[in-house]
Amino acid sequence: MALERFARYIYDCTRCGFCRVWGWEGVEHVCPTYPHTTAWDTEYARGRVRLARAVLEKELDVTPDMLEHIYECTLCGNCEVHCPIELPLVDIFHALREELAGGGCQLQTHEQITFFIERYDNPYGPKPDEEVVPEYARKETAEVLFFPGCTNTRMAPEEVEAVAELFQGLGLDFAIFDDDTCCGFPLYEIGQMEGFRRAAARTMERIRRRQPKIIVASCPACYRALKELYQQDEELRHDFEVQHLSEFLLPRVPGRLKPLVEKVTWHDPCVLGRHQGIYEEPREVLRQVPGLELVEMESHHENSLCCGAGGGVFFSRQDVAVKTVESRLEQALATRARYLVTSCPNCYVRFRQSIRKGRRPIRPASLATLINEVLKHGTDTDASSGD
Amino acid sequence: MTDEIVRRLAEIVGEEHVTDKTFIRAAYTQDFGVQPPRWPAYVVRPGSAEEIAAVVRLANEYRIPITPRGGGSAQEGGCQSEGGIVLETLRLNRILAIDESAGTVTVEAGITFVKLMAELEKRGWKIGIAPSGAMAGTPGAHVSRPGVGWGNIKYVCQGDQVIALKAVLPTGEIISTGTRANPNARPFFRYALGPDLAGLFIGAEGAFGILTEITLRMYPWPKQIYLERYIGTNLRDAVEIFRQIAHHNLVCYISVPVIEPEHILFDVNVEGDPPEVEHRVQRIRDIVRQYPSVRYEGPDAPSRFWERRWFLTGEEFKQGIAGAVNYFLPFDKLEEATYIMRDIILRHGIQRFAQQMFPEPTGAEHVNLLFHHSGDKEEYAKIHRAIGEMMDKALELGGAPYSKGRQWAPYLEKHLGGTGYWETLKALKRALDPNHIMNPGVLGL
Ligand SMILES: Cc1cc2nc3c(=O)[nH]c(=O)nc-3n(C[C@H](O)[C@H](O)[C@H](O)COP(=O)(O)OP(=O)(O)OC[C@H]3O[C@@H](n4cnc5c(N)ncnc54)[C@H](O)[C@@H]3O)c2cc1C
Ligand code: SF4
Ligand code: SF4
Repeated sequence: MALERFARYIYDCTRCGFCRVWGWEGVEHVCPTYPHTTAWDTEYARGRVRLARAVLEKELDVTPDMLEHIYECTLCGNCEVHCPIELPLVDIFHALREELAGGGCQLQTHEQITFFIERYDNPYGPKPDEEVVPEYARKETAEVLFFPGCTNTRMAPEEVEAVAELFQGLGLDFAIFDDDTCCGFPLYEIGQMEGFRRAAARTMERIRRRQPKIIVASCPACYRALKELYQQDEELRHDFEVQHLSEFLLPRVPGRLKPLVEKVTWHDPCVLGRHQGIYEEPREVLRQVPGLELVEMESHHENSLCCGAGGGVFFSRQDVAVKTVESRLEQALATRARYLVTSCPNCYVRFRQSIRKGRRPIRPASLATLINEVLKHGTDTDASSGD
Repeated sequence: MTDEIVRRLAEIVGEEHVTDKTFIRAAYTQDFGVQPPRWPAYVVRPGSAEEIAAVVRLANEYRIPITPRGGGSAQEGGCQSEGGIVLETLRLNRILAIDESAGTVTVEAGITFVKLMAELEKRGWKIGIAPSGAMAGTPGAHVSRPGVGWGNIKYVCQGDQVIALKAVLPTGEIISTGTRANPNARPFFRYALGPDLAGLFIGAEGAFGILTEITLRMYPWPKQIYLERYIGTNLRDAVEIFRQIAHHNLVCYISVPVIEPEHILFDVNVEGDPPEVEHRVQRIRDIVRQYPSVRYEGPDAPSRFWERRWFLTGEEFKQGIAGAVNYFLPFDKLEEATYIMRDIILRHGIQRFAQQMFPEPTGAEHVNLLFHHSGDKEEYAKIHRAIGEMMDKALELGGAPYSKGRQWAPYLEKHLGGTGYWETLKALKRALDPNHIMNPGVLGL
């Protein structure tokens, strides 16, 4: 039983309720989705731990509404950072999903991504005819392999283009993985471990054929899958070095970027920051841009507010996801920054959508698109593809 | 009938704010303490005093018990309900008025303390008392218990900070107390117009009604807040120091988070203008100097704690969920009680526990926390036996709990039953709550 491993922690929850709201130290709500739900106790960490206990003890029948409350969570990890007894809440909530999925419980709204990944290796469905990866980046072997992942390829093709230009501009021997397969993380997040392993194995096989020295990912989910999750599985384990785009760029850009005299704010994607501790590398990369003023939002680093899309919430509760991204956008707007930069296609796409729809006075940009622009042009360029 | 009640409740509060779903009710079966789970039949989340009044009238109509609940962060099971309605106040979370002329702040009952304090601090104000559980706790509950906390010596207790209350009575009428009883008046003075009806609700834990609005005193944010730590080896000396500091009103609070044999750790918190702080600190040091068993540890550790206090207070529960036996005693009883309670704890074979004190002007809150991991049924049973014996003993020693919930109910009845106080409480309960629906069982009523 997946949950059994966390039984001790589940029972340790003191029910103090510190994981609901704070209103202190730049943390308004601990749980980013809670204010946009019906706000029952089962819609933030304390109640979810109670539900984990109910599942562990087989105390309750799992109903569709109960699944809804369990899956309203983006697995952002903010509650874990703010739990005074340091419970491993993300692991508990993930194990809860694994347990439920293993027992055949699945949200109807997640059935489609499960089906699509199984059938097309991609949660967004069959591969479109149009090729996203430029011709010059579609090589069989290269030293550096950029793994764009499904969301970049399908939802933010400008990222793939920007990385190609950027790597070429930096004079690298690189290729972009163009097989259109997903790393499997969306299935991992919703607890479908068997499906995750199958998808990951298919992807891994294709990566192995290319024998890169370094795999670079700008999507934190792909990065985590390749760097951490695959290594926990006998069949998926590999010897490739995996780097997040920000780590990869940091030693390569100093002195090469043209000025951009603008205020910029950085959004920490949960899977990059809280889950993997990468906070400084992207900020450092941005600081390499002459003239760029990096400003922080009210919640940042460990306290950062989730964009609302993670944990499968985007697929199951778009209403909640849309409201959650608005809360984060408000914080970005309050900084009066010109650019809202991140390096996660999920966050980026949500910001882009919300900014366009509300005609908000800020430009969404990914780290790759922004750095690519300043490598090429600097000031007076439009690094964003979003406005 | 069940569906009918849900439907009727939904008519009052809106469909999304009422539930009888089992998995949601599961999360409302316990609080931060160790009372056995109690399952409510319904949970409602009203958005106004008027909605609360309508829910209460409905509860009377169907004779269903109704229990108010804020953050569910108290430790005595006061917010539990067996088969009734749990009424969660968290939607009532606004600051209604910051009256800088009167020096009062009026809030809805379900705002959390930290949110209130953060807002006041921005404007250069503070409240007198806040519980350590300020991140989750609500003023509605804290006044009802009535709680104590940071500020115990200078500001005494949350009850002392109350200027006015607005409450829904067990029969559904809405009343205001203090100057606020005059519809033309603002809440600015408590003891006015007639008897102090706020007192009816302070300490009642919902037995006499549900608080919907609370007016507390507020104070200008002090120019300086200074903390320093001491460690002693002799409990009697330490308590004597607390008594003198308290009687001379030298501090905002003293907290004594660790009382172990020959190791008593305490922090003093002094606030005011810098010369005033310096003068008070000198007087404290003069008092301490008379007791060689106590040594000065300096300001660093408590100042670091103070910076993150609202978070760090939760940390001690890394040891487990706590069965709490917390009650007031006069200073001259504290040493004896500490040893007696310790003996009971050890005799029951409890492995992890903490004894603490939070001095008041006239005595101290004596805290006993018995920790366990909640999956451990054997340890849980031991804790239950121990806290039962300790509550009984506390009352026998002349102690008095501030927060009673359901946990203290049988012991209150045992020691107070038949007294004029107890009988009057019961008569008041009968008169105000003829259908016995308002949080029945709490306090033993
Ligand atoms: C880590 C930690 C430390 C704590 N430290 C302290 C401390 O130092 N001092 C202290 O006093 N407490 C402390 N507490 C307990 C608690 O946080 C506070 O007392 C808090 O004010 C309780 O608020 P609540 O809303 O969570 O109460 P709940 O548990 O929801 O309710 C407590 C009682 O009040 C009643 N009640 C709730 N709302 C109303 C209302 N509107 N009208 C009438 N009755 C109502 C309930 O029925 C119940 O009987 C601590 C808790 C934690 C988790
Ligand atoms: S903060 Fe941690 S211990 Fe407290 S209720 Fe939330 S999960 Fe449980
Ligand atoms: S992981 Fe994030 S969304 Fe999930 S309960 Fe914790 S704070 Fe809420």
